[in-house]
Amino acid sequence: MMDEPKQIASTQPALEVKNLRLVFNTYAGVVKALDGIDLTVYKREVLGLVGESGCGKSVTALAIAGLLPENAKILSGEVLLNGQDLLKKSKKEIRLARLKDIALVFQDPMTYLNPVITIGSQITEIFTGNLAMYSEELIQSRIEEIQSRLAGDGFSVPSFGSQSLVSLEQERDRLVALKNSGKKLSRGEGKRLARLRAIHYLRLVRLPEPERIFKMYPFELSGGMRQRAMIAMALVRRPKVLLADEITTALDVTVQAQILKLLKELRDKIDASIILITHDLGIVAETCDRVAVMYAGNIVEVASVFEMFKNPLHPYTKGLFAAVPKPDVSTKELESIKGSVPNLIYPPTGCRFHPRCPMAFERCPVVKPPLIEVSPGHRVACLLYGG
Amino acid sequence: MAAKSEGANLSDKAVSNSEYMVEARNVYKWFPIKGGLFGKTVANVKAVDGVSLTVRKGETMGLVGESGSGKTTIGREIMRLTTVTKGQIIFDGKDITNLKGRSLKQYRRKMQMVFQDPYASLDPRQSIRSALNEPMKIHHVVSSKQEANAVTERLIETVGLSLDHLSRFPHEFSGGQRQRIAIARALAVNPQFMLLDEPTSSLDVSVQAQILNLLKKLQKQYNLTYLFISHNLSVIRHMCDRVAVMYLGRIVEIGNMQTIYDNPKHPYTFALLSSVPNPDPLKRKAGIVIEGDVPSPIDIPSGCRFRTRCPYATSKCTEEFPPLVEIEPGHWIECHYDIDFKSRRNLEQKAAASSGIPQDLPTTPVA
Amino acid sequence: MTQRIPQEVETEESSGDREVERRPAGGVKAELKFALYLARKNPLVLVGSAIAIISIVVAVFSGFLVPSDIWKVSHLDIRLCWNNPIIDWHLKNIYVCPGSTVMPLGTDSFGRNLLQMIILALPLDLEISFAIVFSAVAIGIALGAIAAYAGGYIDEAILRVTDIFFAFPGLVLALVLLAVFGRTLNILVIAVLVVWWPIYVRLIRSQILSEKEKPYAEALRSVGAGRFRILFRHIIPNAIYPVLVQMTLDIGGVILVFSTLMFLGFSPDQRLPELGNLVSSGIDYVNTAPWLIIFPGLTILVIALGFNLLGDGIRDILDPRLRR
Repeated sequence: MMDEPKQIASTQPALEVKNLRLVFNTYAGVVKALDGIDLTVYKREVLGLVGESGCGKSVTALAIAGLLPENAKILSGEVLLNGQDLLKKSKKEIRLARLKDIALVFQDPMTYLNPVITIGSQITEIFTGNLAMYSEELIQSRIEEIQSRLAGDGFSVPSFGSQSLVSLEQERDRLVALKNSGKKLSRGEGKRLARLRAIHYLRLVRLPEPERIFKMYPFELSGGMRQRAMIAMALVRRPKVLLADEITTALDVTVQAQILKLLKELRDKIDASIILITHDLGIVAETCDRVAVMYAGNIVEVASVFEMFKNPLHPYTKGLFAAVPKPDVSTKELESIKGSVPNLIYPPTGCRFHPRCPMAFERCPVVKPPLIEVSPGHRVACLLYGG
Repeated sequence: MAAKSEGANLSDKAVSNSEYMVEARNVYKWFPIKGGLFGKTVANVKAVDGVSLTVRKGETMGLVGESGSGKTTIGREIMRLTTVTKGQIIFDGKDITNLKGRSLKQYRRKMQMVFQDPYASLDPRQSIRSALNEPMKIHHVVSSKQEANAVTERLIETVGLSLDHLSRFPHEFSGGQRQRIAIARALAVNPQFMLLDEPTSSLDVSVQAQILNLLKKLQKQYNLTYLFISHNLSVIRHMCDRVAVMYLGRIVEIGNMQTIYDNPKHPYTFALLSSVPNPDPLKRKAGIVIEGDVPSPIDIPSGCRFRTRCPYATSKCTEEFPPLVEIEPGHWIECHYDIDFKSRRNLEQKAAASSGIPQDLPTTPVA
Repeated sequence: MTQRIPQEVETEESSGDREVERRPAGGVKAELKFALYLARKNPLVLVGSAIAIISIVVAVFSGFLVPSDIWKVSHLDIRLCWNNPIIDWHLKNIYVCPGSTVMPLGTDSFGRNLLQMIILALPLDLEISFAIVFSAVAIGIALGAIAAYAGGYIDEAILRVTDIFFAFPGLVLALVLLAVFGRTLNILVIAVLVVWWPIYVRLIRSQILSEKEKPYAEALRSVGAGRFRILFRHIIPNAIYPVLVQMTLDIGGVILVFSTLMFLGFSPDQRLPELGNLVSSGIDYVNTAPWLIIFPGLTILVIALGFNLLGDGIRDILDPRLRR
């Protein structure tokens, strides 16, 4: 029999979303996109955010990152990072938070990479453009890298290039002195350190010959490589939270497998929480620690991945699992959920899933079910389980 | 069981078999790249590079592959939406490879297609009723507008929509509904064969389930033959009786659905099967993850075209083109070796189940 | 990221569906509604459309407003200005009187009621303009479709010929044609048309080419539709929008060009009620009777501007369709 699920990486929250309500003002009406989202992401965990189109998972990511379009309006709620509410911040502060703590990777790397700038430039841009802010960190991380290399750590590497141990020591001493003196990095030195860091991360995402890739343009890379470059670009500034929005949807399945394998490796090497947004239950089962299922702007169920697949509680979750064709099991007919996703301009009253729910009863259209904890770590928003 | 030869050389078959709905015989599709001052052909994009397959009447044949495999192109060649560079397309015993114009049109009636993108495959300015009536008008299968309307009304209900949808326009429908409309349009002239080109790839999971169920129901009801193209192995598994796996323009493995899943013999097939994330965390990945990307179809590797990514490749694979081998009746692969992936997979699964921790086992060939 | 709403928020009801931000593509009523919504956001469009519509209406009804032969005055007709304290000054230019209740815009250099002349000029200018634009579109569809479908050498040949005509300096061509074939209105129209058609060939050809490759065209082919059916019943109605934009912009543009040519002296008859012509005959009086050029000139400006704004508005209405 299977062992109990692994413990969640940590019990400290890295990011908390509380009661987030958001609407879009459009030509056709007001779209009630998010209807009170409660989401917690713990440090060093991989949280899967699953749902079909229209459920609001991408919108949630954008809200966290502060990248909502003009016609979006946040009605209420908080997004707490390090205890500070991102929503209350000014544009400038949000931008800084995005620079340092939140990183996004999107679905289509070709669109999100600047085609006329080399990969390397794009990655280092964040440092060279904000040297003052990153100065200390760059120095510190370089010192640490050198230390680990000198200590014979297997992971580090020839991006140290042809630098001999002696010259590395000299560099380290110089940097330590620089750090202690409190002076700022010069532009040249900053560029150099940024470049080294970029190459370090390009190697981390398993791109072959990272020094060469550094100088290449996006169109010279294949889809999978571009996605890796984007991941490197996101990780290079050591964010606290990495938002990955359907990052493998546009990739072939064999390339997707590579990226997922990479993500699993990275988990141990980086100190970030990952929010993996997808519609593919297989990806979630493969890579996530915990899963949150969204429907029509609500979180309907949250649990650890083993618990969720073993014992789904919400009728929507059950329907979703039944509708997915399994690669190793033959079925005569797939169970589908009747009806289709509701129009969020006129969402159903009470529980938004009730028109399609096989277990709906009289209270369902009346009361919106709160997200309550049914067993440790397993929360459901359904009147069948309370509320 | 008489195993029909599905190999590369079908030219020795003089007469086509009437149990086949569609046959592709050694079909090629090369797109020339012109260059230089005089527009000489400097290279070719070899989208389809020698494909032979058959689709038996009444079955659902699956065609699976990733980008660059050529599955969509061979589909379009079969539908004669594009010219065939070399080879033959036989439909219900007749060679339609070079037909054009009016003579092709009569075959169009019998072979219909459902496209991948439901948002783009309907004319946005055409009402649904008009879109469904049109094929009937084109092929003169009805004698009056009333008759056409009657058929259309029956069709729209068969696919699960209602009569008042007929006066609306495509943009008013969701992706799943548009696909239903596309299916209805394909059925309008009573075809015998349907090419389904990734019909559910852009749809949500729950909608996909509805559409796949509908397709199965329609197949029984109208006695249709399907060629189902997809990159999604789980969907193929659910829908198809037989499957052909394509890589870089050729079929590398072909056989019964069950056989291929239980006993994949080509390294690419095994890699594909292992790449599919299983929606069951208890079955976390075993199997190989192949490195690298698909080579360009302009510059196909010598010998076996999969050798650049194959963990089992040897020098023989570089030098010699792999033969077509019938591993077991009805199950063919194009490979120099006979590798037992089945037992390897069993080993891995047992290991994973007993330790409770997903493992990555070393990838040494068993053969 | 140029999305208006993230892809997934576009949701639909189970029946009676509507898509949230996608611009309605079919059904005239839905389109008008959307057009009004956008017009509310962009008042200039409303202004432009109003101007365009008014000018067309006036042109259509000009026959009722003004007797149509009234412009044919003989210069022997002498008109005296009505009671006016400035009449002494005007005795010099006895035909040219300023505005009054009888003649709100004054008289032109031939002593005719300027307002009436302008009203008569509208149908002329608009007709010519429409004729040129529609003929150019017709040529564009014919040549564009041939080029798009034939491909290869024919396509190249048509494109090169189009380029040659593109390169032609319009004025020079007009001069040549007029010199060779005589100074009639028809020749002038042909001269402008010859300069104007290339843009439509290019535009329509590229539209047809892109629509031709779209999935719905391929789907129609697989259903069995023939080339002509696809072209005329499906592609052209879908491809027509950018052409419409170009057409409305051009109506304003052609009026400008045409009236400029008339102004420069290519008019067959000095007395012809045409806006450019009116300006040209008023040039001599610019110091004493500036209204002679102000009003016709203003009319040209307003009409051209109106159609331009209308064209911009149509383009804006189309844009969301293209954006998403």
